[in-house]
Amino acid sequence: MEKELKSEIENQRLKALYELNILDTVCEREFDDITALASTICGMPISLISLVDDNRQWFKSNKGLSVNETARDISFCTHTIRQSDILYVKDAKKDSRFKDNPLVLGDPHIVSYAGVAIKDPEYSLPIGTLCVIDQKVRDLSLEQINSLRALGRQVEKLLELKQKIQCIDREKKQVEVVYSKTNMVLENAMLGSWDWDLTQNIVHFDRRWCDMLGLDVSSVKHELSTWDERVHPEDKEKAYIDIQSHLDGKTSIYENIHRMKHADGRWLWILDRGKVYATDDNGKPIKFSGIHLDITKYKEQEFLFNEVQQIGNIGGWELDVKTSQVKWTEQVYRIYNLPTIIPTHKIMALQFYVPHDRERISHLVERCVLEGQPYRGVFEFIDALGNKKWVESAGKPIYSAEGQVMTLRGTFQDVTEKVNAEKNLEFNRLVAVQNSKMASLGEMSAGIAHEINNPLSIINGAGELMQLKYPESSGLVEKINKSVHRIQKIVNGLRRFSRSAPLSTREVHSLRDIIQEALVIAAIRAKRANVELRVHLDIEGFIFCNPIEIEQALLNLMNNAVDANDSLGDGWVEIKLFEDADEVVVHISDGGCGISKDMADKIYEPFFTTKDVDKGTGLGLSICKGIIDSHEAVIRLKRDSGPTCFEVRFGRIKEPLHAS
Amino acid sequence: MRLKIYYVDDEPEILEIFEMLLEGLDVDVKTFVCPQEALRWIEKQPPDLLVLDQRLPGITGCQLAAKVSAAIPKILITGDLVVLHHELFMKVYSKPFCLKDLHNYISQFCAQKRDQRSAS
Repeated sequence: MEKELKSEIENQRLKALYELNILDTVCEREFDDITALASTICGMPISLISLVDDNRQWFKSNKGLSVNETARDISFCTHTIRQSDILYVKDAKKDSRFKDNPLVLGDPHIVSYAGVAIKDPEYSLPIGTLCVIDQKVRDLSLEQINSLRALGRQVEKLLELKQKIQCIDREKKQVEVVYSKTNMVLENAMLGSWDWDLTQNIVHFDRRWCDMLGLDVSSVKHELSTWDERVHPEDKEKAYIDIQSHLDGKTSIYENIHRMKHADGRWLWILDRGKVYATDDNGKPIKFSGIHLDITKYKEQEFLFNEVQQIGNIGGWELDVKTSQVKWTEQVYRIYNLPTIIPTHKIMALQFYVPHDRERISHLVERCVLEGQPYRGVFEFIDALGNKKWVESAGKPIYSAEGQVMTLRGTFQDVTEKVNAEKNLEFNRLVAVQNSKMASLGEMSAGIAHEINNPLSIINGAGELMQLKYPESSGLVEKINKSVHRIQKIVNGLRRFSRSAPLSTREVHSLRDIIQEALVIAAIRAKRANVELRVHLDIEGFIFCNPIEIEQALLNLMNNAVDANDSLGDGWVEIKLFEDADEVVVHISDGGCGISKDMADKIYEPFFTTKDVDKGTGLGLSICKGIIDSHEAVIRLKRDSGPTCFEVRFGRIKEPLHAS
Repeated sequence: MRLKIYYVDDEPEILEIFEMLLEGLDVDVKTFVCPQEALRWIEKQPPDLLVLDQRLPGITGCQLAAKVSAAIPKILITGDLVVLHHELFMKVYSKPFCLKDLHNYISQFCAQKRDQRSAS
């Protein structure tokens, strides 16, 4: 027995056979017809279509044999497939190649054999045979042999046909799989789809597209108006613009978000994306299809997010460390008072902080980038319209996979109201403390005044009696009386601290008198500081006021003026009272070094002070201004003249109606 | 009958000076350091003029005046910083007061009173 070497060709032959997917398949009429024909034409009872496998031959069609396969090494067909033409063995018992073959010696006792090789349609390799067999010696005519050859070719054709059908089936199956997969994806993603034939007014909407809008797919009109009628009027123009620019080839993909009306009347937010997928010979688009996604849920969240941002006046930002580009949420734009179309950059964003805080925040951002140090701070800020604001900004680093800070993200909150409220609270607290100090001082001074006034009365009275009884002592008693009056004036000065008179009482008073009262106390301070007081009170200056409050305010201005002189001496304070049209005007000027322009803007702010920390609370001028404002008078710092000069203007009362 | 003038003040020196001041006026001057004692005397022998200090031990001049018949004319003398013009008093003086003014006022008052009496 010759052992066949498994050559390369044999491997290819087997491969070709297996690709036909024919081994061990059921009987088929087409093949059985051919074996029946071969048997009849050749007049031999047995006919086979035998396919030669690795170590067997298997019969696709079998006429006249009881087995379906036999071992390959004993098969006649193995010989046939090596042959380019027909193998015809007239008497096997006399043929040296076959006389010892078990198929000759035993069942099925082959005597005559004729076979043609069958080649596969793809590679033309011999994969089997069509053969006829008889147990008697048979002569075959040329016609019979040619017929056998022809039938062999028919088998080959049949195989080719079958393979093509298989191929088509496979492709069909693949298409079906792709189709059902696509369908499944669309279904799961809840995507509706549309397909627009641009040459006719046909837009095919699929079932999901219709479901999304609550429409019935069986009755929906497949034309553009179905979509057009449902698009929100405010969104329609932009949608058509986006469609047109895609059709003009300006965009690689059409994308638009618009609202569409659901059959039940509510509005849905639709993300619409599409692409032209076919053009005519001139490149003009003819087919355009796309998908619809219902993004109402996300839009609602976006609205909520936006609203929350607005309520909290808080926005978010993201800084790309490499490009310094900054992304802002809408609220940040709102806080900056900038339109959302403005592109943003780190440098630009920083410009809005006041210089001192710009430096501070730049430093914090830099440290966050370099050291990964998160930050949070409150900064002073001027928006695009020039409004002064306070913002709280926090930032933290976002690391890349390599551990580098690539991005900074953070919040941005307008805390102006909060900061102002805190400042007001602190101001009110200090004013309250001041007031309670004044109140206890008032109580004390009332007590002291009483205690001093009693003995003064005795001294005074005794002096006067002495004068009556001993007229010669008149000169000395005069001195006693003068001194008593001085003490009395000082004690009366304490009245400004006393709150036993209701503060809101306003009457017509002489401003000259009020200034003179204030001067009693101011003079003590001026004398101590070696400051000369130049007083020019040319008029009475009747005004409608609360004299104690006005005295307090003017005394404050006088004290400030005294303090403004430098401590080396030669200082002076000038107090002038005069009339100007319908107004009574007080000027309080000093010989100090003046107030600079940027300080001038701040002097009335609570807590602003140029004095040493323990010397002033910074409340004086702001309280002064409060008092003067409440009297509908005006205080201002005169900047036109040389020395520092505060001017207070009151409305003049012509006749003292009921002077106190 | 001589006119009666009472003066209530917790400062004895002031009372002394007051007595000395009115020596020449031909009036009965009675002074009190204690407001309660003064009240008893006022009830027993109502004065023609009552002079009160505002700050008295345990009571103010105003309160004291309120307890006394409104028919008695009253003067308030106060060492307080804020001088109240009170309807109970015909006149209010602040300390330290000018003796001459007070003397003039009281002598005028006495003259008027005597005129009224002689007229009636």
